[in-house]
Amino acid sequence: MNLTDTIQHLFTRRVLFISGKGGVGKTTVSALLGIAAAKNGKRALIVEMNSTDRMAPVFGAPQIGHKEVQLQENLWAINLSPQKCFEEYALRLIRFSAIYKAFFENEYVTNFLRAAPGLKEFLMLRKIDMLEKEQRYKSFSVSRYPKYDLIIVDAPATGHGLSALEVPGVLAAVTRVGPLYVNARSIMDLLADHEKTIFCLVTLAEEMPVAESQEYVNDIRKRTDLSFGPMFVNSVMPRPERMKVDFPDTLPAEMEPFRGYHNLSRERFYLNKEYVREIEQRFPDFIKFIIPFQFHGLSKKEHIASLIPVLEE
Amino acid sequence: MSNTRIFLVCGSGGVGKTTLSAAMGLKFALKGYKTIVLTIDPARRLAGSLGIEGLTDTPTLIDLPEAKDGEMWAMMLDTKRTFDRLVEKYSPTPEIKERIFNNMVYKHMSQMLAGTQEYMAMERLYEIHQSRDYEIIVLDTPPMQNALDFLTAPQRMTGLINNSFMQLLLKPAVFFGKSGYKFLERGARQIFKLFDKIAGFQFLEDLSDMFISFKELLGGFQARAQDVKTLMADPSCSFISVCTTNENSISEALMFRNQLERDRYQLEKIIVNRVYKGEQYSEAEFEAFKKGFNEMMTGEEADYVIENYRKYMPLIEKDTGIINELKRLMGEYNVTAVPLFLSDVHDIRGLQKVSDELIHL
Repeated sequence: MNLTDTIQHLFTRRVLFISGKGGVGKTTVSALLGIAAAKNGKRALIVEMNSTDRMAPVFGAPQIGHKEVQLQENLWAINLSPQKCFEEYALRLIRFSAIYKAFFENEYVTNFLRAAPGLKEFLMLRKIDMLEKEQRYKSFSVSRYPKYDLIIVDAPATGHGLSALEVPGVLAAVTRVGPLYVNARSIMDLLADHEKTIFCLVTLAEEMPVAESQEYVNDIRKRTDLSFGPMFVNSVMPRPERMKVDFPDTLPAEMEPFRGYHNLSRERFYLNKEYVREIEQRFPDFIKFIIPFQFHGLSKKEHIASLIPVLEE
Repeated sequence: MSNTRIFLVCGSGGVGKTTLSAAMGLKFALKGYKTIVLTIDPARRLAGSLGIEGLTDTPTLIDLPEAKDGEMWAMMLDTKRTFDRLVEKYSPTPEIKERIFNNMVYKHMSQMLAGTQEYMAMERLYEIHQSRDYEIIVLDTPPMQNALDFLTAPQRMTGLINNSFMQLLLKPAVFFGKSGYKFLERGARQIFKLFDKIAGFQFLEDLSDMFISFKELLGGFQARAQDVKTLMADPSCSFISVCTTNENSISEALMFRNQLERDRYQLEKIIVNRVYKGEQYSEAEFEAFKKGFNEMMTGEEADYVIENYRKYMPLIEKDTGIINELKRLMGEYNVTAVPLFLSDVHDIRGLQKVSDELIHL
């Protein structure tokens, strides 16, 4: 593999948040980066944040829950459960299981926690913070190494994503002291550490995803000091072999779809081209990786792995 | 105008809810109804969809020259403002209102939009419905990981305020300060200490102060939650489930339908968006088509036209399978497949094309 400098540099970081509008292909990009990093010798962990588990079907793995599962050499995945995050967090704080039980088996307490705004996001971010700090020993060695070299977070869709990232700041502001404050500060430090944490945007070359990406970048830059990495422009239609076909004005009904799909290929090509240019203008300081549209879909590992050349020189 | 119809458009992020909501609104407006589309998305997508910027919290009339008797209005929900209005409305005294507005926790709560959006969407929907200004209301719901969260939003809201355990737990912080511990029974005392340890006393004080202030508003909130629930179960209110064709869409659609049935809500339709529509042909059939095209254009063009279609076959095959399965499970007329359009929709003309596809509605 001959990865570009940008990607190699990206793989020296600790945590990558892959964010973007819903449906733009965050899961695809997370999986692609995971596969590439693993192939490159990094121990990589893909983190899904309480989503419908999309990673398992891609890798043909059994369902992924709140426990790290190895997908292939050097590649693991976990799908965070806010409930489990909470239990872990509470057990750390409450060490006595009797109190713990009194607390968590109380219906009112659990109802409260389920409804408390922002709590889920906080707990999942805290878990990511913990995963980043986890360590392991290499065999025959006393030195410790990070358990994972690279943590790739398949983040919630923007709109929600931005609020989730703000939760630690809000919590720190309202608590001001205590363990909750300390945890919130620790997450904020990790998110704002430009050496460790990078935010990668995924977008489509279409109007609304581009507009939303712009809003997201503006919002984040206005309110926080997070570091953006390369941008992934997904599903870009390659140039059709022929742009112009002389169809007669009227076609038999059963032949119409052939014209329809020719138009689709051509119009999508033009549309994507226009918005790739727009992306260049709107995000001049981002390095972009263009992922071509895949006619066979991207539901399997092999399909995603076939995109690795996109990351290469 | 007692026969207002409400459509709640639900689905996860990125499936095209906002565009479809706008297309539905357009369809009803062109049919001659006075229609409003409510969108709650902070990304301001409907504004994009309609080609107009800066939709506000107040209803805006969309310019539709073709609509004769109908009207199309659109409105963006402002969660913070709705929340403030609610507090204003239900506060028994100005002092309580001020106490809430000045509370540290309340000030930040609206920033955590992920949690409060759904509550406020239901609230605003109810207000608009009460105004009786519209014949059709289309509500574009916030994107959800779990579409069902939306249904329980009003109950969760009052449940949170009325959480008697939290009330008990938090009261001493306000009335007695730290010394309040000793008035509590042993179990509660331990838990209170724990909270103090985790979150800090100041936070507890703010939190409990807010809860206690909110308790004053509870009567209003509870009555409202009940009203919203009644409204949602009324035959005039129905749900539209929007999805795209992916591995999860069938199971998600089924889950959603079952949940609606259990709670006796009406599912109007499942709209599957961005579908690769088409027939699947055998080699012999492709050959026959090629012959046909050869008579209309150059051989190279004909080859390309066939090859281009062939490239889409895996996608057509997958989508056709998913649509057929959905129709088998849900009934033919309850599933509408909207084909992938030539370009992305961001103006009235584009919306018109989408709305033409929304048959049986």
